[in-house]
Amino acid sequence: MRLRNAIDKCRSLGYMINELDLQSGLGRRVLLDSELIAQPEELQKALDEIEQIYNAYDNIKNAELFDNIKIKLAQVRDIKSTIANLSQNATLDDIELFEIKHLCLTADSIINLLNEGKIEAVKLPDLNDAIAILDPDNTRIPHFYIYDAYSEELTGLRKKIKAAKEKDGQADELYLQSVEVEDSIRTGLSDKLRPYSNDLATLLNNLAKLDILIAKASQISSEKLVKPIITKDKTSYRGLFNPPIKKNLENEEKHYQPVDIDIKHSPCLITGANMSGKTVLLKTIQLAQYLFQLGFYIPASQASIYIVDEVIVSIVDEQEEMKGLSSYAAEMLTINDMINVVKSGKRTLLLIDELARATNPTEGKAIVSAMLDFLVEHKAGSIITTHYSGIQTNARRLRVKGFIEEKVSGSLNKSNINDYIDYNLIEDDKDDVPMDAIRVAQLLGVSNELLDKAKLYITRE
Amino acid sequence: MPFINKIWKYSSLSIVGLEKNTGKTECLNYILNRVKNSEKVVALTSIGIDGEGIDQVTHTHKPEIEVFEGMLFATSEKHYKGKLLTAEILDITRKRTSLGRLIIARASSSGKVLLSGPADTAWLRSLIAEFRRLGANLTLVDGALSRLSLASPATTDAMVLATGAALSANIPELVRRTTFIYTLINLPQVEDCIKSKINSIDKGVWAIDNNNELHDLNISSAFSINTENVSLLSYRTRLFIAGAVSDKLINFLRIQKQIKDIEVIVKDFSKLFISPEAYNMFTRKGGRIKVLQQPELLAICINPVAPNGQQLNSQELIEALQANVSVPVYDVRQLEQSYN
Repeated sequence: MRLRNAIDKCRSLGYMINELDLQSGLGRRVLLDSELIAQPEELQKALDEIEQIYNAYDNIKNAELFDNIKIKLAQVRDIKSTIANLSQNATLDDIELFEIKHLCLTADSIINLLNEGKIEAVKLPDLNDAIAILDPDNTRIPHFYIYDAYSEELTGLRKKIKAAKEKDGQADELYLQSVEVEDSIRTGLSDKLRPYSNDLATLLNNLAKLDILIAKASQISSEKLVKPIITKDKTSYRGLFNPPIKKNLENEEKHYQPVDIDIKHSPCLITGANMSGKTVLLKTIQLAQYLFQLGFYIPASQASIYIVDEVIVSIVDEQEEMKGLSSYAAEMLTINDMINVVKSGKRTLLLIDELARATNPTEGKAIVSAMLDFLVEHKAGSIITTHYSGIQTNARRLRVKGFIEEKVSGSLNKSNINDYIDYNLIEDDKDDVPMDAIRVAQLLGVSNELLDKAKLYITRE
Repeated sequence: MPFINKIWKYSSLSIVGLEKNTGKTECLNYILNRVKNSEKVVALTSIGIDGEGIDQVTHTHKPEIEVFEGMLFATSEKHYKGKLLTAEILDITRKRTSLGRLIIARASSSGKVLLSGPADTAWLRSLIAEFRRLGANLTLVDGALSRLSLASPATTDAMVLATGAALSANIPELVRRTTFIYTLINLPQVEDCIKSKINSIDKGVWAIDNNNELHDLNISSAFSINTENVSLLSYRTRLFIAGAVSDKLINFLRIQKQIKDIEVIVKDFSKLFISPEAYNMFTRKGGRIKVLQQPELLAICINPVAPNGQQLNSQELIEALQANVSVPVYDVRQLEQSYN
C-alpha cells in the first residue's frame, strides 16, 4: 500500500504528513507515492538513515548547514516528465534544458554542503559532465539558452540578424535559419545528455529522499518520537501517544495520558467502559504501525514492533456515521476481509473497535467470541475492544482501568471528566466489564429517578 | 521625447488601456523604442492573458511587443515557445497561469514576443521585485482593466493611460468617460495610520471605527451587501472593501441617512466598477471614496482610430481631453511620425 492510500484510512497519519516541513513539491510527491516497507533489512536501512540525519540535524553546530541545505532543496523542481522525455529519445526544448541544468547545479551545491557536514546517508550522483554540456562558457550560473559557443554557424547568423535588424528592422528569413540551427543543436544536446537520464532520475529521487529525511528528522525533535526496534513476534509500546490528540489536549491545557501495550501473534480483548479511550488506543496503534513501516520514528517513549503485511481496521468513524452507511453491514464486510486475509497466511494487524456493537447483545457477544476463537486458532495479531460483558474466550484480556472515583474533587462535568479516567491497561481474568456507566452518570448529576431504577434492573439480573 | 525622461524616476510603470484597441500596445512599443538604447535595464511583463497575435474579438491586426536586446521579460510557457527572438532563461516560476508557468528571461537579440504574466496582484508585486533583483531599473507592465484580471495594474508606481475611439466614437462621450477614469485614478489616498492596517487584507468587507480599528463584517464581498446589513452602518461609516465595488453598493450607501459621513476605501481605482452617474450622485450627497494605492499618472495616450475604421480628429480629441485633465495628452502615432 502507498502512503497516499494509508492517509485515507488513518487521519492521524495525515496529520503527521502535513506537519512535515518538506521543502519541495518533489519531496511531497515522492513521499506520498512511497510504499509501506515489509522487508526487515530495507526497513532497518530506512530507520538507520533517519538516525544518521537526525544525529547530524540535532547537532547545534550543523544548524546553519541544514538551513542552507533546506534553502537549496526549496529550489529543486520536480522535473520527472522532462527526464522521462529525455530518456524516451525526445529532443528537449530550452525550458527543459534549463530545468536539467538548474537541477544539476542546485544538486551540485547540495553535494558540497553534504560533504562539508560529512553527511553520507544520501548519496547524490555527480553530474558535472552533464552540467558541462549545458554550460559551454563554464559560468556555473543556472541560466540557459542556445549559446553562441555551440556553433560558429549560429554565431555568424546571429551577427547577421543583428546587423539586418539595425539596417531595415527586418530579419525574418535569417531568424528562421537560426532557429533551424538551434534545433539541430537542441537535438545534439539531448543526445549527449541521454546517457545521463538514469543518473538524473536517481538524482531527483535522492533529492526527494534527502528532503524527506530532513523533514522526518526535524519532526523527531518537535513531536518527541523514538526510533523503533524491529522484532519478530512481539510488538511492545511504552508511553504510546497520539500526536494530534495530544496536541489538541495541550491546546486546551489538558494532559495526555500515554499508554503501554504489548501485542503478540494472537488476539487480545480489551474491555472498558464508555469514554475509556479504547477507540483512540486502536487509532494510535494503527498510526504507529503505519509510521513504522513507512520508516518514521514512533510517538512513544519506547517501541519494538513486528512487521505485518496488512493493517486492517474496523473503527466506526464519527464522520462515516454521519454519512448514514449501514454500520453493521459495513462492519461485517470488513470482518470478512480480515478473515480472508488471515486465511491467506499474511502477517496481520487487525484492529476492531466494539465488534458487533450495533446489534443485539446476545448475538453480538456470540460474534465477538467466535471471532476471538478464529483469531486464536490462526495466531492472528489483533485487538478487539468491547463493552459487552460475558465474552467466552481463551484469548488474552486487558482492561482499561477507567473511571477513578477517588480522584474526583468537586463536581463532575463534560469538560473535566477526562481528568478522572485512568487510561492504563491492566491484565484481566474476569469476563465482566467494569460497571462505570451508572456511577459516571450519577456524578454528572443525572436524575436519580432514572438511575435508581436502572440499579434495580441490575440487581434483578 | 515627452514623458520618457520622467519614467526613470519610477521602478515600475503600467500601460493601461481603457478598452481593447485603444492603442495600448503602440504606446508600450513607443516607450520600449525610446528606452532601448538606455544603459538602464528594462523588464517587461503583462497582466492577464493578453497579447493574442490577432485580436480575438475584432480580428484586427494587433502588433506584438518588440523586446530589445538586453531587456528582461516574463511570459508564459506557451508564449515563450512562440517567441521570435533569442533569449536566455533565467528562472521559471512554480506558480502557473492558465498558459503555464512564467518564464523569466533576458533577450539576447531583439524580436517579437507575446506577453502574458502574473494572474494576481501579489504575484505581480513579487515579479517586479524579482526583476529588480535581476538588475532591472524599470519594469513595464502591459496592463488591463477588467473584472477578469485579478492582478491590479495600480500595483506599479506609475501609469500611462491609453484611450481612444474604440471606447467611444463620439468625442464628448470619449472625453467624459476618460475624464471619469482620470478622476478615479486621482482619488485621495487613505491616511497612513489606516494604510498599514489594511495593506495585507485581501478579502472581505471591513468597518473602521473612530479609533481606526478594523472590524470584519463577515461579508465575503461588496456584492453581498443588502438591506439586512444596514445596521452595520449605524455606528461605523467607514468601510474598507477588499474586492470590487459596483454601482449597487454605491447606490445603496447613497440612500442611507448617514451618507454625509460615509467613506468607502478600496485597494485602488481598478477595483471600482462604477458608472460616472452613480459616482457623481454619491459624492454630490457627501459620500467619499479613498484608495490605498495610487499610481502616479504620467500621461494619457489617445488612439483616434476605432477598430471599425472610423477616425476621429486627433487634434480636436487631444484638446478636448487636455481641457479636463492636468497630465499631458498625446497621440502616440503622431509622436511616432514626428520622431521618425
